[in-house]
Amino acid sequence: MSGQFLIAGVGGQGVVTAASVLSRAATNLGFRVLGSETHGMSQRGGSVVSHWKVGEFAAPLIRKGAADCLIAFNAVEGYRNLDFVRPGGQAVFNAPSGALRPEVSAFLDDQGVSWRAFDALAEVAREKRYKSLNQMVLGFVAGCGWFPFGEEDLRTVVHGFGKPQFREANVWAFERGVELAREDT
Amino acid sequence: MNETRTETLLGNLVLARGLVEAGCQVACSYPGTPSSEILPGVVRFAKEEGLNLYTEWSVNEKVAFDNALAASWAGKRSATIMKQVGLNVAADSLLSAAYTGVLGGMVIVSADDPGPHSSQTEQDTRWMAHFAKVPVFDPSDPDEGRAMIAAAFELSERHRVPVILRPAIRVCHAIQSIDFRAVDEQYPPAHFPRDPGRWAATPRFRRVLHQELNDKLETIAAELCELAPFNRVENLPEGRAPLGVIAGGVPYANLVEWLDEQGLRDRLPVLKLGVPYPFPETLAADFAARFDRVLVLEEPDALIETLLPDRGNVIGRMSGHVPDWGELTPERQAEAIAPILVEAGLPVEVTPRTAAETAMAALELPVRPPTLCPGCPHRSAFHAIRKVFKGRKSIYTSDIGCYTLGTNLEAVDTCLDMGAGITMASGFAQAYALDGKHQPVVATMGDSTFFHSGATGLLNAVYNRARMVLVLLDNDITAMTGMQPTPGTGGLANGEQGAKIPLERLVAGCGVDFIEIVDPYDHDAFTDTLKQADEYVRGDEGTVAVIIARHPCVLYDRQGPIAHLDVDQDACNGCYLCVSHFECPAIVPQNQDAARKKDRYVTIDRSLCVDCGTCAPSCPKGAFVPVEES
Repeated sequence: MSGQFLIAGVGGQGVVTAASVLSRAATNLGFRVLGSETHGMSQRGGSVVSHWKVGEFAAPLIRKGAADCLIAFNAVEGYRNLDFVRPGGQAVFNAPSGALRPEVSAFLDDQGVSWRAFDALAEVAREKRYKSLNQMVLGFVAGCGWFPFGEEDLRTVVHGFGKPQFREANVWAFERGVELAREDT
Repeated sequence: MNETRTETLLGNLVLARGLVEAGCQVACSYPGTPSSEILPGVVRFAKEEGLNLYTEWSVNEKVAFDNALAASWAGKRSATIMKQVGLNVAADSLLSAAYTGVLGGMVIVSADDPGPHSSQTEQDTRWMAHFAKVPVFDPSDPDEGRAMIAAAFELSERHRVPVILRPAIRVCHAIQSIDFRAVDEQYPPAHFPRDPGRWAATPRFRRVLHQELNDKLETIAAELCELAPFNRVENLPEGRAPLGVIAGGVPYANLVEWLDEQGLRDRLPVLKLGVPYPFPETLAADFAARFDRVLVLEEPDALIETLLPDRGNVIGRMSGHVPDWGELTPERQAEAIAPILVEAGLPVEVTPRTAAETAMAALELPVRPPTLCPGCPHRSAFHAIRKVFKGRKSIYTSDIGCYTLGTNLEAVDTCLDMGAGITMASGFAQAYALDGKHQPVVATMGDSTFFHSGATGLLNAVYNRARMVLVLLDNDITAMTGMQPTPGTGGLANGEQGAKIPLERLVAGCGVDFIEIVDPYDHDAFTDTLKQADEYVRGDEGTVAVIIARHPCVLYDRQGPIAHLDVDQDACNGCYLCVSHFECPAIVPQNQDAARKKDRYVTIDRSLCVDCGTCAPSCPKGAFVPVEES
C-alpha cells in the first residue's frame, strides 16, 4: 500500500485531527505512516496543511507535484496547494455551493486530475456541527474510494475516535460524507 | 508493556519516547515551537509505565539547562529541551558546562526551525555545538532521532560531555509509525562527588578543563569516523567517480526518497553524516577525495561545507549551488540539485511545476495570515490600547507569543526576542527623554514571557525611572505553544499543582507602585485604567505603570456564551472600523467592492463566533446588538 495525501485547511478546522484518524486506520492495518503537521502560530486561524504518506517513505514532506490526492477543507486553501497534486491524481474540495472557480476546474481537468467538490460547510451548519466538518470530508473521500484502504477500515476508527461528546456528531458527519459522495457521481 | 506495540506519533513524542527508553530520569524544558510537545510526551510515557521521573516546565531555558545539569552532576541521566533560540538564552550555561563536563549522561534537545516557520531566526544549532565545543547529532527522521538519543547518552557518559540533539522542525512535526521498545529503568541513586577543581573551577583550573575538552573532542572525532549507522557511506564506487554527496538531517531524507522514487538510489555515492561535530574529518576527507565534485546537503547553514578541510571540489550552500536561506523543501532541493546530478550522469527528473504555478498565480489568492482567535482577550486589550493611546502617535513594543499578532491591529511595532517588550520600551522612553520630550510608549507582554525574562527588564525600568506603560496580557497559560501551565496558576508539567505565584506580587517586587488588574473584556474599565496609567506616567514622579489585563485564553478556558450579538443592518454604515481596528475573524465584510460606503456591510460568521460580545465597543454606531439565539 502506498499513497501521499495533502490535507489543507484553516487553523481550527481539524486538519491535524483528520491526519490522526487516517494514521490510526493505516496503523491498524499494519502499514507505516510518515508525514508532517503544522503546529505553532499558523494554527491561529492561518493556513494549515498536513502531509500524510502511507507506505515506505523517507521524507516527512510531500514533494510538490507528487501528492496522489489533495483534500481541501477550505476551497481557497485547496487552491493554494494545487501544485502538490500530481497529474492524474485526485482532489476533493469543501467549496461554497460545491462549485470551484472555473480556472481551477479547468486546470485540474487539464492535468487529468479526478476531482469532486461539495458544500460540507452548509451540511454541518444545518446541524450546527461545525467541528465535524473534517470527518465529513474524510467520509466523502472514503465514499469516492480514494483512500488506499477501505471505507470500512476508516469507519471503524471514526466510530471510536476522539472525545466521547463529539463522537456522535463525528459519526454522523462521516456517514453523511460517504452518502454525499455516492449521491451524485 | 507490550513491546510489539506500534503507534503513529508526532515526531516530538517519538523523541520523548527515545528519552524515556534511554533511561533519562530528569527532563526540564521551556516550551517553544517546534520543541513544545517533547516534555509532555515524557510525562505521558512516564505516567503510562509508572516510571520514577522528574519533569519540569522551567521558567526559561537557562533555568531548565541548569536544573538538568545538576541532575547529571548527581549522576542521573538528564535532558533539557528547547527551541534553537532558547539555546541562546542557555548559552552561558552550555559553554561553561562543556568545560566542566557531566557525570550522568546529559542530552540537550535544541530544535531548529529552517523556514523559519515560528521563530525570529533560522540559526543552526550545529554552529552552537561547534561554538560550545560539544558533540551534536542531526536526525533525518524521528525514529533515527530516538536511536540517536540512546547513543548520545552513551557518548555523553563515556566522555563526560553534554551532547546536543538537533532535530529540525520537520523531524519534530513529522508523524511516524514506530515500534515501542522497553524502558531502561536502571536509575542510579543521586550522588554528587565533591570536586571544586572541576565543579567550581576558577580560571586557573578552567585552562586545564579547556585542554581536557579539546582532547575529548579529538577522541570523539575519531570515534565518529566509525559511528555507524549514524555516520555511514552508501554506494561507495570502486574507483574515482564524478559526484559524491555528503548529506545530513532532513535534506538526506529528501534526497533518498526522491532517488528511490526514480530507482536511482544505488547509483549515487552518499556519505550520511548524522553526527557532524566534532567533525569526522578523516571519514569526510577520504570520501570527498574520491570524487571530481562533492555536493553537500545540509540545513539551515553550511557547517559541513565549512569544516571540510579541502573545499576545492566542494559545492553546496556556500558556493551558491544550494539556496543559503529558507527551508530545503523536497521540491526546492530537487530543483537545485537536479542539474548537478544530471551532469554527473544520473538521469534524474524533476516534476515540472510551471503549469500549476501559472494557474495559481492567476487566481490571485488572498494571503491568510494567522489572527487572534474569536473571543481572544488580547484583541480587546489591543483595541482599547490603540483607542486611548491615539493610534500611531505612541510606540507599541511587544514580545513573543500569540499577541505578536497584535501587528494585525497596528498595536505592535516591535518584537525582538523574549523579554524585549519591556526593555525596548524603557530604551525608547529614555532615548526620547534625552530630547526633553515625553513619548508615550506602551509595552505588551504575556504572562509566560514575563516569567521567562520580563521581570529583570521591569526591575531595570523601574530602577532607572523609565516612563512607560506595561500591559501584561495575563491569560493564565502559555497559549501559542499549546497551553503549557505557568507559575501564575502553579500547574506543573506532570499535571500536579505546584506553588502559585501571582503576577501582581512579582510586579510589586520589581518596585512598581502603579499596579492595576482589569479584565479587558470590560471595555470601559479597561480604557479608564489605561488613561490613569498614562496620567501617572506623565506625572512628576511617574515611572512605570503596570496594568495586568487578566482574562483566560479563550481556547484554554472557554467560559461559555456571554452575549449573543448580531449586526443591526440599519445601524451599520459600512465604515468597516470593526474589520480594520478589531479584526475578529467572525466579523465578515460583505459587498467590499461597493462604490458607496453605505452599500457595504458586515455579517457574523456563526461557525467562528463564540458569543463573547467583545465586538460591541468596536462599532461607533452601536450596530452590534443583542438578539435572541435562533
